[in-house]
Amino acid sequence: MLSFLLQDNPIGQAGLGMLYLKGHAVEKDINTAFKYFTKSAEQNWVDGLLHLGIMYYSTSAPRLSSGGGSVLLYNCLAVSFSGLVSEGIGTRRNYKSALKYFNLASQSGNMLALYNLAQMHSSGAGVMRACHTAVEVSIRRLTCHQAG
Amino acid sequence: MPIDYKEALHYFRLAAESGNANAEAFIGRMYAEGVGDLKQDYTVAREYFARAAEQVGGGAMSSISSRDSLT
Repeated sequence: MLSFLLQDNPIGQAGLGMLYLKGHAVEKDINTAFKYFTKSAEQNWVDGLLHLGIMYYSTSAPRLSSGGGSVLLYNCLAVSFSGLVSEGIGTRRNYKSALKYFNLASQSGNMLALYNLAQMHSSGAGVMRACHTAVEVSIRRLTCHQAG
Repeated sequence: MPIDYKEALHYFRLAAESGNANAEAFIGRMYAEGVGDLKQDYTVAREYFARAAEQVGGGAMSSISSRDSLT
């Protein structure tokens, strides 16, 4: 309980992450966005988990540099679904981490996480291609959508 | 219940005034998205996000009672 009180607010951190990712009201800074999403995800906030997953999936996670400044490649990718748009700019794709964070985010029924999870399973990105699993995840997404 | 952003904002503001970080963050989201009649304003959103995200020590401790009721 006390540890919760002493932690910073994960919803605010995810919000700041979005502003830095898009460059709204602040100078666009992918590393800072990544830092805020990580902090938010550490407290299991769904937006933090989702956007960390998107950053890894869309090659926008900053290269974790050892010492020297990180080099960004600035590849753009947009994932759009049901009016939800997320885009990333950046570097090293990491399917394993993307899968991990999409899985965590999807546990609370997040549509975009489920959509990306289904995409990964159907295309075999970072996982053994499994249409059965992709269909299962898609059904979960549609069920969540209808319930919402 | 129909969505009433104005009413939501009113209650979030009340909670935020008593130091509730979740309420501050949600007000930030409302400004970032520009919901209802609220004009999209990233600068205001940033202020609310920052206040919530960096609320440690005094701010968080002074809102123990309001946070307790959430959990």
